[in-house]
Amino acid sequence: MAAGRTYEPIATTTLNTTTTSYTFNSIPNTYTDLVIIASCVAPSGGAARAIAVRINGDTSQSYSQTFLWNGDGTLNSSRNVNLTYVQAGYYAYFTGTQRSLSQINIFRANSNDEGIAKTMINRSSSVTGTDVFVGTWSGTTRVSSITLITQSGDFGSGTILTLYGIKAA
Amino acid sequence: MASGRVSKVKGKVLDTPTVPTIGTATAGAESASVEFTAATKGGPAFSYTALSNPGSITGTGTSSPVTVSGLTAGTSYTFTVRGTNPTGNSEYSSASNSITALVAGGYESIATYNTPGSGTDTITFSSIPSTFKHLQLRASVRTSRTAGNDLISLRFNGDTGANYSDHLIRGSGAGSYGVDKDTSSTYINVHRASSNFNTTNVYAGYIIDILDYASTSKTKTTKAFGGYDANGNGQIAFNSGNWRNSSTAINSITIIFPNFSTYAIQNMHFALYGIKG
Repeated sequence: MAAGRTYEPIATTTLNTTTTSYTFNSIPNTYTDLVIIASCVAPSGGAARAIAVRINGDTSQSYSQTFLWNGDGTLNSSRNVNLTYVQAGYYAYFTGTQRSLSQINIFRANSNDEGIAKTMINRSSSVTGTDVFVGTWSGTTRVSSITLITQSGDFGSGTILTLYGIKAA
Repeated sequence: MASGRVSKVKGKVLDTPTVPTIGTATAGAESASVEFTAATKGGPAFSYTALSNPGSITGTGTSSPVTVSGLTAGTSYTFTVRGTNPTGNSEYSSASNSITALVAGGYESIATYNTPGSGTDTITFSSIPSTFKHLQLRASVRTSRTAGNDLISLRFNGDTGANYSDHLIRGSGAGSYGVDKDTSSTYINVHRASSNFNTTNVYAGYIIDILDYASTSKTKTTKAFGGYDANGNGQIAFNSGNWRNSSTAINSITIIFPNFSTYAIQNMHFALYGIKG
């Protein structure tokens, strides 16, 4: 039997100024998986760039990723080791009416699963490409904060970032 | 109506509360949050009750805001608030702004399976209710294999016939990518990884959507993406699959690992959710 509604918004923000990073703090310990939907624009005149994820403020080389993308009509795949983040959108975001949309999924984020590395599967879409990522944060503590960063430049005003939690039965 | 009564608390005469000042009502999922400002005169209120119009549905709390649940999505409501203490109730406040209750989220947990340290090589969710539009399976997978390729695959309703097909695109990094296709298969391959998942503490993650699973007139389509990364070893994949059964709703899902004779994985996690349409 179904155990009730379980895909719940935790927090959302619409940035009203250019911002280098944004952190969701004090994430409740009650959710099995966490999901972030990022609808990103760049500051006026900004170039395309990438959005990436850090967990619990860890800026060490504790992250790695494998990804697959189509940016110019050609399939590509890459891998990065010993990163300080996991990407969630390689083709970044745009000004005006164009946006990139990223979905970030973090599995088994609460204290029931402390002791295992945290797996992320992320995907993004924009007018210039589509990407899918799998990434790992080797930290094993529960996820209490998530920081979204840009790899160059800022998030533009109007960027919408929403965090959801999913509870397993 | 205010009762006008007074009572004694710890030897003091307690007045009935004075009417609170209504604030902003905000729509929620089949609910509303009603803000107010407590009165500074009169007796202290021990609790506050928000009352809906229409419906006379109430919510109670000890401070602002008070949540009123059980509203009907799509219906417009206003709210009034009163304070209560042992002596009695205040009058209700003036009415709030009008809100329209929102549709509640239609994503519900159906069942979860956590694997033990060892066991059989199949996992089955059975007795799946047909009350949802779609299903989503979120899987966290690790195996104990040390050689060969790993597969995670699906069967429905116990059908072991050659009634399944799938297409998959995968990337293994460093410019390595590829495709797979299965026709007339006995399962849907969600991922055929080119290496095993046996890396300490690293789990593959998958999100598998099963579309229109309760239909009795359409074949059943799945879409999935996921993979694993172990800092130098990993693979990402996305996949479409089909079960060529158009007459029967899916009432059970079996997750199988065709390349395993047994598994001795640690702490895998499978969670099945229903999505209402």
